[in-house]
Amino acid sequence: MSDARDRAETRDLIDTGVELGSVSCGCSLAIGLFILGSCAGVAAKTGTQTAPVLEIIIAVVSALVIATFVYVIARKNAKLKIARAEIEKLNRRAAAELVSQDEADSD
Amino acid sequence: MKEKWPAVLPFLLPCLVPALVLTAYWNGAAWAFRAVIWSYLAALVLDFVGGEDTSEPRGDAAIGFCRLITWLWFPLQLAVIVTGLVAVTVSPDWRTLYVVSIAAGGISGMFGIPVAHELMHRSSRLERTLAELQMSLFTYAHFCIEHVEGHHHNVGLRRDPATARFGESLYAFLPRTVLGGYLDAWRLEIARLRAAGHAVHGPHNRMLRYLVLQLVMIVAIAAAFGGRGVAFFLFQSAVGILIVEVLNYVEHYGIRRREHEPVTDRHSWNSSHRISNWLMFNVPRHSDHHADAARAYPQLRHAGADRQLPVGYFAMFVLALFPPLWRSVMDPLIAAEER
Repeated sequence: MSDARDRAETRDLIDTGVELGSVSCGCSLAIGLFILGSCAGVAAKTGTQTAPVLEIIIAVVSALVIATFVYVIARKNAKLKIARAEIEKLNRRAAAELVSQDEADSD
Repeated sequence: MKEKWPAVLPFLLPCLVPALVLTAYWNGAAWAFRAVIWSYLAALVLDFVGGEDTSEPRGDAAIGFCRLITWLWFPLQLAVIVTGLVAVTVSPDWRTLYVVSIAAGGISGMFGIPVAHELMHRSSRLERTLAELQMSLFTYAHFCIEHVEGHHHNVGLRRDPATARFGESLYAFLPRTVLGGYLDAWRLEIARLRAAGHAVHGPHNRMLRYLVLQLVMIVAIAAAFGGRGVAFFLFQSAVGILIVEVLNYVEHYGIRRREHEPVTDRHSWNSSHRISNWLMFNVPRHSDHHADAARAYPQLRHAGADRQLPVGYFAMFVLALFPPLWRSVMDPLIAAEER
């Protein structure tokens, strides 16, 4: 019984981890994009024309930063999902064992 | 039980993107088309903070309204293409051509495709015609044949060009699916015509009709807007096609199904992320769509814990562009699902 409770608690912890990880990634990305947008806004206001090469470099760097953020959080979430699937499998196995034990006892 | 109105109103959100672009451009805002790129980034961020929605649909009272939203898309998308043609013709700058093409193709692929996809599965002639016209706007009308009559029967099988194989990178998948999908559409259409007793080279051939329609569109654009107009139309088509195929890649990467094995929840990747589902008309509830393709998008059900992507569709698109990162996330997930 305690095993089942432990597994339920672990599953809750995993769900919280996924949620927290996702929110923090979203917030970090939002802050990064806000900074980028502000820079673009200031440049437009002051009438500064960004050089095309610089624009391409900024776009590539932004893409790499976004990809890294997404990768880190996706990998973490994937690991947590794998762990959750393992817990579900253990739960199912434990429930099946319990049923077969009950049947054996009643026989 | 009746579907509450607030539950279906978010499906209007994607319409805001073309509406914003059109309003901004015709009011002289220089940032009009760039807004699409920022909208994508905003969707990506909001997907992380918006959380997951695993609730089930409640009744069908708002289905009429939801269908109306899909009918609105063709005029909106057409207006974006015409505006794009005007924008690239009045500005000689190559950067305008580049930005406007990516933005128009982005609207077609990211938000328009889920609508066209919804329409091509409907039984009404009008809705299927709208889907064909919408797909013609980025020269991919044969997708209506291949997707409905090919992919839905062959998903997960090795012969399905729209199912990415385990270990296959997006860049290896793209030529295989684009070329394979086109040839498959021809094969399916010829088989249909022969079964119905029609001539292959006749007016009943949908592939020929699409070809003529798309050629007429290109010639008309060349006559009205010149070379820059044609360049814009083809470039935005390429962007739209790329997005459609990235969507296919994400939906079925590494899925394997045996011949004659029924299609189940395990043959598609799903995402329960609220924002992805709102903006893509529930396409990320993909398993249920494959279970019953006739089910309207607001009625698609949550697929359960299996075959759930670790992040929303918008984020998975970014990962798909970087094959080592994609495989490092997806391959262990597939291995664990198949254990």
